[in-house]
Amino acid sequence: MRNRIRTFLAVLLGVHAWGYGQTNNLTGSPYSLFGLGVETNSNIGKNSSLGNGGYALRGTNFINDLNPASFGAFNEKTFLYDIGFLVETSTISNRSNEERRIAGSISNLAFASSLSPRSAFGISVLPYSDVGYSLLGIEANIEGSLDEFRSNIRGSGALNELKLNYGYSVLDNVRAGVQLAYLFGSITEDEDIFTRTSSLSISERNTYNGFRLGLGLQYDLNEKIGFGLKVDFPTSLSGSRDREVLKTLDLVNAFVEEENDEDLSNFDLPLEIHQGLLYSFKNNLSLNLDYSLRFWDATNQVDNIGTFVDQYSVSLGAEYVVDDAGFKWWQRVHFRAGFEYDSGYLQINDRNIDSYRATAGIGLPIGIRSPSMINISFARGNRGNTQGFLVAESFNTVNINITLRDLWFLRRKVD
Amino acid sequence: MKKVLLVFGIFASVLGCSVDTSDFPTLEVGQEFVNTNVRILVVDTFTVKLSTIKFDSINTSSSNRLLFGRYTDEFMGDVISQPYFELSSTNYNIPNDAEFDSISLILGYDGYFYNDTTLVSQLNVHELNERVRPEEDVFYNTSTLGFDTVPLVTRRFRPEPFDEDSLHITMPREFGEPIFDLIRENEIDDLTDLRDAFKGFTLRPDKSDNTSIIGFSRDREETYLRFYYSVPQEFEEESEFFDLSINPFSEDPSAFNHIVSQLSQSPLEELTDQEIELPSTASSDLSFIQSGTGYATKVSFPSIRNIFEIPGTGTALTATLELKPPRSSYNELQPLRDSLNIDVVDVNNVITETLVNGAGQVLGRIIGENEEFSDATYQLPVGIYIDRKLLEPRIVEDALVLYTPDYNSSINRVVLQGEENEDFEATLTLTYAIYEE
Repeated sequence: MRNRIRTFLAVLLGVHAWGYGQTNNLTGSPYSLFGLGVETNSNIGKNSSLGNGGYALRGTNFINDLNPASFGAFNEKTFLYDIGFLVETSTISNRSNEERRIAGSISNLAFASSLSPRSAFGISVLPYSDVGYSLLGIEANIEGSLDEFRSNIRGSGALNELKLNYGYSVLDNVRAGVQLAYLFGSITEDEDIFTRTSSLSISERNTYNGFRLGLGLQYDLNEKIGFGLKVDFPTSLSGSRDREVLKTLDLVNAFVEEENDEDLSNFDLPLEIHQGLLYSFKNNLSLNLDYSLRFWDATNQVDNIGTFVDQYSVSLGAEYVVDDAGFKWWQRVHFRAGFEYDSGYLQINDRNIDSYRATAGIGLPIGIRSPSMINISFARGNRGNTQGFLVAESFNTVNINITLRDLWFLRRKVD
Repeated sequence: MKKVLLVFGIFASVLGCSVDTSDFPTLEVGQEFVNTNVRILVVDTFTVKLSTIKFDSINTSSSNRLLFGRYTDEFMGDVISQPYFELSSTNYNIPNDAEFDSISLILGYDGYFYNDTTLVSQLNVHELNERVRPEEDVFYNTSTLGFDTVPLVTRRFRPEPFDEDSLHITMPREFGEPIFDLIRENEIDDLTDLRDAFKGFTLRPDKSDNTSIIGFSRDREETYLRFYYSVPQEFEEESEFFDLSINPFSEDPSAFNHIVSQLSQSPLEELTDQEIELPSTASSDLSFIQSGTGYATKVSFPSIRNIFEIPGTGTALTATLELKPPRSSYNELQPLRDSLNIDVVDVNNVITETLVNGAGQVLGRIIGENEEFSDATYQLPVGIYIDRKLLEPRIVEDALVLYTPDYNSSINRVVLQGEENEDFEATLTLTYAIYEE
């Protein structure tokens, strides 16, 4: 137990560092202008390479953050840490222009521990949504004149999720779990405006936070087939805004306004229902199929230009390992691949900003008979399209997670 | 477990620092599907209230110019400038055997003129019978001193402010020789002695002149009273001279210009006190500026706060005041100044400050003066002032006052068309940004 306390302290230290990591952007997508930003591409452990799915995956020796019920299958007397980071390169284009962007940062920290043979809990911190956009040279008419002014808008920030998961094996083949998530973070938007003779700059920092409850269920029909269900209940994030406005008038810099903790209207998160199916061929090949629904329409929210629409996503993933208990290192290497389609929650000009991605990954074991592993996931995908005045974005993400089991560290003591 | 801490520590520091990207993407992609959150609009429907005021007094002793002449102005009546000055020297040494030859007043042109210099002016040199000493510390355009009403000499001349260096006036021998003798005999050894014999001059234009106003320099090298004398030598006589000039370093000012405009049947006659103002609506939709005499145009913006009727939260970005002189009010002889000074006056029309922005003193600039099809207008960047008027928590009854440069040493006149003028209404154009709807 003393070890665990020290480990927990270590994780806190890591969380602290992770906080620093968030000063970097995890995305460069112009679509992150809307709502709370784009949904994060980062995931803990191997889910990233399985098309971001895996609601039915049993979390026997890895942290399946998607479904708290999976913690019910967590191996007894096991303690796992997971730290991950993400690099995303993207190419953004409209009909005439193209540009490349890169963004990256630490993407998650998590640990999980068994409480009893039938139950386990975990804590994880990871981004919920990311904002990182830069829209330069927007031109608009100065009303009442023939002149135009230029505007540069830049946004950055992230909403993060601190999740507390608890899972319990109700029966040998039924597991239930509960997830309490605390969402917090801030989004900064800076707009600089230039007329021929003067300028105005507006810096806004919107801070949101709120709790969210999720319930999970997993059911194993038999050795081969398992089902997963996770429901996230709708919640409202309360927001506040700090704003500073400065200007240059007749070459004099002037302070216009500073306002702190101004109330923002709440941001509503919808009801989400996630379903997963797991099919294991033998011990060494498994397939997962997941389907998620997010009922954004019911939140009745509008954004600057886009509207919120119900969102669904489908993902398919496969994992293969020659022999998980093999004596040779390469036999224990995991190979993964997946695909995801996401209809997107944003509709602009009656067009959904949908996305799809293909994923691949490899899990490199560390040590023998240990779940410690380095997971490298690669995803390639597209978002949006260039029809009309929309913007298409293609992105490549590399997600590296290191999962460590504390036994690995304790081995010498065992010796 | 120490290893755990160590490993996390390393991760924390390595990842926290090394994964760094440029803060923001920078290229221009994606702006077509988003609008700015800010509205900028231009509003030019504010009331611009113009009126003429007259400063009680202008310090004319601090200028470096003797301003002489008289002309009749279409708007300002008879404009008269009469300089007063004391002449002195740093030493009063003339050889005992020197013989007086002649005496001349040399007035050096400094290049300034207003109105028609092709006409012959008449200049009367009068000797002062009162010492050049101000009642307060300085002389004003309204100051006068006593002088001998019979002129010492009268000179008719056609001013040549560019083609000639100076105007040469031969003074009568009867005036010069007694002073010369006193100096030579060391009866006059200093300025106090000199003042007993000679207090200075004033230069009066002739009453019937309608010609021009000319600037003469106060510089010692340019303007002086010169005594010519000769000293007998062994074989021939040697010509020498002794000068009296305006002392630029004297404690009390030793020269000033008395400048007036004599109006008749003009609404400007009402302006007998600095606190009185004559609205442009009461003077044919015109307001006036004249340097030297103290006329200035006061501008206020009584409806500026109407901008708050536009919904949302906003701020002023620029404000330009545009004023136009009537085309008939200027020509080659009566040119426009290419700039206007801008000060702030309080409710009693007392200047409280000079308007300053990030580039220094704010000046109104003339636009389109030399363009063939457009008339000249003055553009005044008054954003700093307008911004202050919009922000002040309690409305202060101040206003802008506009006047010409060299206000104490010239007689340039500017006429401006007021807010109801049919040709061009005085206009304030405000660029206003609304950043929160």
